Amino acid sequence: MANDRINTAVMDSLNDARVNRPKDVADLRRSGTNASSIPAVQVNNLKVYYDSEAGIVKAVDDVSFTLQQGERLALVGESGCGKTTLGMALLKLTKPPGYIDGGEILIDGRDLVPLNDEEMRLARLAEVALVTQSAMNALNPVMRIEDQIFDGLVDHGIKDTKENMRSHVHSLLRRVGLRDSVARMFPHELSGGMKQRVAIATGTSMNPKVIVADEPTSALDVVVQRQVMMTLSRVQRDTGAAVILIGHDMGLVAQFADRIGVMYAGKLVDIGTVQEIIEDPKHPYTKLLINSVPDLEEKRERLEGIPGIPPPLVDLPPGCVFAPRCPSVADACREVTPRNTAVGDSRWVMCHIFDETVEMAGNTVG
Amino acid sequence: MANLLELQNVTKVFGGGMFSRSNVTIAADDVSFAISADRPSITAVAGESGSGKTTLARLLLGVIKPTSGSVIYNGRDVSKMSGGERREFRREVQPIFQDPFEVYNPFYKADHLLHVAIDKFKLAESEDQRIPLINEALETVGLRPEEMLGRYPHQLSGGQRQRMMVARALLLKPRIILADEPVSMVDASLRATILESIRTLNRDLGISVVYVTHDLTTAYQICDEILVMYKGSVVEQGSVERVIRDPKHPYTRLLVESIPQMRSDRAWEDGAEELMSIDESMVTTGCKFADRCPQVMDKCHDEHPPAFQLDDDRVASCYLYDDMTVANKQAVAT
Repeated sequence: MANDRINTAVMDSLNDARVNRPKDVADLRRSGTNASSIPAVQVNNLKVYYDSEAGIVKAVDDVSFTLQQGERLALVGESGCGKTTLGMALLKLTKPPGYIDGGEILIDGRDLVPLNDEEMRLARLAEVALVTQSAMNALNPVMRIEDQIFDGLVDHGIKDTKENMRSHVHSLLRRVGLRDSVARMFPHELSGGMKQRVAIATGTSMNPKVIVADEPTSALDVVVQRQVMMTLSRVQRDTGAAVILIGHDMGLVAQFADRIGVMYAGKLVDIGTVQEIIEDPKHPYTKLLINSVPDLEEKRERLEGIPGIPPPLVDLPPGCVFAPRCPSVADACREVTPRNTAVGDSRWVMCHIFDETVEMAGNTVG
Repeated sequence: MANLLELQNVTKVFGGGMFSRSNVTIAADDVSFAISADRPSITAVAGESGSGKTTLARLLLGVIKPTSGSVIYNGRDVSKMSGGERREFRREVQPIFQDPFEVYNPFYKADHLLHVAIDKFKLAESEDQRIPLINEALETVGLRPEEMLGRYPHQLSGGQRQRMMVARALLLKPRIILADEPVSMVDASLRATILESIRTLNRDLGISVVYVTHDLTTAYQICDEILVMYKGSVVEQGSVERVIRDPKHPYTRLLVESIPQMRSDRAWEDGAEELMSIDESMVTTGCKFADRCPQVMDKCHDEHPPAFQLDDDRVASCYLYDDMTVANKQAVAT
C-alpha cells in the first residue's frame, strides 16, 4: 500500500514535469533563466556506499548542502575524498557495486532518488547535466559535432525542423566561443580546449538547472584552462544554471566559485563563501589544504603538504575522521563524531573546536 | 665556468620522412642552454602542451638524437659516447617521469625497481650492503622503509610511488635529475610533499634538477632559473624571480596572467574576452606567437626574432626589445 502511494506521488510529479517539458527549439529558447525561489539543488543526508570485500566503503557519508539558483559551488579535497562520487550521485550515475544508501537529492524541488532509470534518463541533460574530466573521450569520433548534439535533443523529445535544430546548435556553439563551421566537424579536427567547449555546449543544450563539472580542465594547460573556465562562466550567466565544480586546484576554484565545500573522507567538513574559506579557514583540514597551495606572492622556504594520507573509507575510526592527521586534536575528537556546526550565515564546519557543547580540554583555535 | 650538461643550437624535427612531404613538426627549434657544473641549480622548462618541453627533456636524456646541433655532457657529445662513457652518463643523469603508475611492473614488488638499479650499476657487492642503501634512499625522500618494502605497486598511493621513483634516482647518486612533470598527476597536498623532497636533493645533496612543467606556480616556488618555451622555441629565459614577477615576452605575460591565484579578488576574469576569440592556426615564418600576440608588429610575421639580452640574467625573443643587444647564445648558462 505504502509503495502504491509513493508510486502515485511519483507519477503525479512526473506528469507535471512532462507537461512542462520542452517539445521544440522555440520551447528550449524560452526555458532557461527563471527567477524561482526554490533552491536549484538541495541535498539532504546523502549516503553513497560501495560494497567491497573488506566491508562497506562509505564514499559519501551523510552529506547535506543547498545551492541556490544560479549559484556556483566548488567541491574540493584530496583525491579519494568522495567528491567525484558525490558529483556522479547527483546524476544518479553511481555504478555498482556503488549505491545510494539513503538521503534526498532535490533538483529544483524534485527528489531524484526514487526515480527509475527511464525517468532519470529524461532528467539528465534536461535538468542536470554533466561536463566530465575527459570530455575529449566523451565525443563519438565518427559523428559530426552537430549530430551528437541533435542526438541528445531528439532523445529528450525535441522535435523540430532540421533548420531550426541546426540554428540552435549554432547558437550553442557561438555561446561557447566557437564558429558555426565547428558543427560540421569531427572531434579529431578540434583541439583539446575546443572539445571541452563542445562538451559544455552539449551539456547545456537543454538549459539544465544544474551543471555538474567534474575537473573540466585537468587535462589542459593554463591558457586553455582559462578559456574553458571563462566559457563555463559565460554559459552559466546566460542560462542562469547552478554549477557544481569538482576540483582540487584551489586557485581555479577561488577564481570561479561563489562558495567552497571542503570534503574529507566522504564528509563535507567545511562550507562557506570563497572569501570566508580562503581568508578565514576554520576547519584544521581546510587550513592545511590552503597552506599546501603554492602561490606567486612569496617564495617559501618549505613547501608543506598535509602529513599522512587519507584513511581507507572502510571501518572508519570512531570520532572525527580527520583526528589522526589533525594538528589540534583533543581527546573528544577520538570518541565523539563532530556535528555540523553553524559558525556564521550559511557557514558550516564539522569540527569540535566550534561546537560549544563539546569540551575540548583546553584546546584553542590556532 | 664549466658546463655539466649543455644543449648547443639543438633542433629536433619529427616526421617529414620519405613518404610524407608535409606534417613536419619542429619540436625543438635552435635551442641552447646549459647547466653549470659549478653550483647545483634547479632549472624549470615551462610551456603549454605541444611546446616541446618533453622533447627537450628526452634530448637531454640522450633518448632521442637531435636533428642538428649537439647535446654535450661533461665536455663530450652524448650521441658520440663510447659504451663506458654512456654508462656513466646514464647513471649520472636520472629521469623521473610524469606517471608514477606506468613505470612499475604490477607483477613485481615495488622495491624490485630499486634492486634492478643496484644490479645494473653494481652498486652493492653483497646482500648486506644492499639493504642499507635502499633504506637510506627511501628515508631521504621521507618514506619509511618498513612500510614500503615487500609491497606491490597497487598497495602504494600515487605519492608514495612517485617518491619511490625519486628514491630510485637518488640511489644512483646522480649529478642531474630530469623530472618531467613529476607532480601533474597528484593532488595539491602531495604535490608540495614531492617537490619538497626534490628540493632537498638539490639543497642537501648538491644535485642539479631540470624541472619540466606547465605549472608556473610550482616552478616559481622551487626553481632558480626558467626557460619558457612556445612551439619549440625558447621565448624567454632568465632568473625565475625576474621572469615570473616581471614577464617581458607577451607569451610569458599571458601565461602568468592565466594562473588562477588563490585570492578572493577575481583578477582572472579581466581581459579574458579577447582570449575567447583565439584562432588556433599555424605560422611557418616569423615569430610563432605572432598570431596570438596582442602587441604584434609587421616585422613579427617576417622573421623569427633573435634572443635579446634584457639584463644580466634574462633574455627574451621578441622585437619589442630590439633596442637591446642580441644575446650571445653560448653565454646563457644557468
